[in-house]
Amino acid sequence: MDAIIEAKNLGLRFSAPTDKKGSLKKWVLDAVRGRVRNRHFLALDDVSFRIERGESVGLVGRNGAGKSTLLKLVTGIVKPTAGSIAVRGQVAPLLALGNGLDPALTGRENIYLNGAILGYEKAWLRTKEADIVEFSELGGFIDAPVRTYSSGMTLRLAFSIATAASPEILILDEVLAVGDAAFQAKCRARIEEIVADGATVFFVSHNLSDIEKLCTRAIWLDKGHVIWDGPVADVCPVFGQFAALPFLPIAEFLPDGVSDGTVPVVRFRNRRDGRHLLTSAREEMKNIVLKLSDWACEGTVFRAFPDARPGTEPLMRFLSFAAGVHAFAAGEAEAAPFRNRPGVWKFEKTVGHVFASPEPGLIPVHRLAVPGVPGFRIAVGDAERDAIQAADPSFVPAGEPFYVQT
Amino acid sequence: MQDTPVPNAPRLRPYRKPGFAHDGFLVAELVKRDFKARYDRSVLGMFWCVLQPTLTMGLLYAVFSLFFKSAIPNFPLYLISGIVFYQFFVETTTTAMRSIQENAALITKVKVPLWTYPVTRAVSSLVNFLFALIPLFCVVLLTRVPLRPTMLLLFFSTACMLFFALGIGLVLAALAVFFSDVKFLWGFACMLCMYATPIFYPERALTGGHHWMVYFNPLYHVIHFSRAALNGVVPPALEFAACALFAAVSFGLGIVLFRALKNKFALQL
Repeated sequence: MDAIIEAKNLGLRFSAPTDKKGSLKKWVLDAVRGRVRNRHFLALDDVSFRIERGESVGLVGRNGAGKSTLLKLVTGIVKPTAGSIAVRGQVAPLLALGNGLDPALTGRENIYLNGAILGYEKAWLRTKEADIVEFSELGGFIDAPVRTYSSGMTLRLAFSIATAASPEILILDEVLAVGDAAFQAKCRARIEEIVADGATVFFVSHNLSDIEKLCTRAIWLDKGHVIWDGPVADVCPVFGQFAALPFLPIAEFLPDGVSDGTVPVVRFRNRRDGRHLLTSAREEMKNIVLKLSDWACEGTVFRAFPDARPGTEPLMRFLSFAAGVHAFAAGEAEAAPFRNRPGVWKFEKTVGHVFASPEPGLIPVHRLAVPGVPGFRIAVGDAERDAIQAADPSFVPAGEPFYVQT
Repeated sequence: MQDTPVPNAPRLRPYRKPGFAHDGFLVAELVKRDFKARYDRSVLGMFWCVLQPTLTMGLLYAVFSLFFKSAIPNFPLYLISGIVFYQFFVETTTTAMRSIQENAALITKVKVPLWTYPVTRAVSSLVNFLFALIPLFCVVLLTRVPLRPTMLLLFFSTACMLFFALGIGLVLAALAVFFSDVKFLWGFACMLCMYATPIFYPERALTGGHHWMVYFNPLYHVIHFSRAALNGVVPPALEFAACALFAAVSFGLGIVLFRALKNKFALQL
């Protein structure tokens, strides 16, 4: 049997004008000058997947990853600019609050209006009207204008209409987040019923636990690419880790993505004193991210080996009890002065193993300090060192540089 | 909410087959919505459909009867026939123009044939126009114009105006998605049309050196045709042709442009 949704090398290229809202005058002027300035933007690039009948698929990804665009392609609202998508079934979007409901109309009138928009047959809607009213728990309010409803009531009505029929493909775009707990539970039960009926579900949510409960498969999108398409139990926890540390390259999180066995060393800069902190531990990064008002992340600056290997030395971090700043030592010889004053300096961790001597293809990492002032600034490469020294000549090299791969 | 089929009852399909015939239900629901939403919370409700053209005519009559009354036989009928058709044109084009943007929330979520939005607005305007014919025929009766079979020709001029205005509405709707300027320009264009068309001044006022220009004004042809029909005159074949030609060209252009641009709407909204 054919897959219910089959995407092959799907691409969508936006060519939006530089300003969102177009102005005719500007467009005419630019056209006359021979340059209509369009910003080309790949919302989706080379996306391929097959979804079988009855699968429930969660779409995860950061904001702007292309999730909504993909849903629009599945719904058929937008046509792809590259590749193809075949959708072999009736698609029913669960409309977000108020999208299809008109406030001036009564709930009952809205059943027909929204039903018509969703593509239901009139005769069929008539037979289902009572069921819809019952499921929405609106009772006598069904004949009152929707503008008099609370937001929970509006949602209940919209949900009841959208799920009155079991569609072949149900699209849920951040819908379970609204309404009271009891109705949410009822919605979940209804969606599970639809899934049990053999519907294919496409679910977009930032609530990963909802996706984990409802879906069996997850597709992780980032910048228009499929990062990982796999069982929800594999994808979601890893995406969750990434979502907590979004500045790290995604490859750091993928189980087979780290091929050379190195760990990323991320540099944070203290906003108050400009001192640097290096770390390769994810738990620590998460803690720092919680205090981002103090620390600015400068991203992965180099990669280190988690274990010692020929030619490498451990890069160790020490904390000054008095000043609260960090010092870094490459190798035990450099660490000795810190280790010898245990009440003043505390050993914190080994960030990773780095090369102690220059080798072809490696770049130097300089530690710079102001004499007499504890703490270091870290400069990756000679250019960065020169920039720091040009801005503040009191910084001088503290120890020999160590060498890393970036 | 399980489907429990009644024995011997035909099994109903939940979803309509894609196609023209079934989009009728959607358009009907959208038109109903248009009217309910427009007259929501108004005391007089649908009565405004009749009241609005009556008041407009009353006002213009009060002003312009001072100038043109003597020059035009049966000035009230002349005036209201012009106003009613002009309003039909303006309402259709203006509301159709806004239809895509005003339904942006839906268009970016549900796949519905996009033409239903401007067509809905045109149908709403047509219904409004039919209500406005009530005061028009009141004037016919009050001014003792005999009811003649030529008045059935109004069906023809109404159809021409509908397709002419819908064609322009489709063009404007498509352009307004990309350029908001269109909305402001069209407001100005409508005003221009009002002064360029003999609505409240006599057609003979245009017999100067620029007389020929009025023949390129589609509104003039439809209104001229309708006035002739109301006065019991069968317009010459050339007038039939002019009305039909303008409607066909405009509608054709509208369809071509709308179809060419519609796939880009959802990304622009």
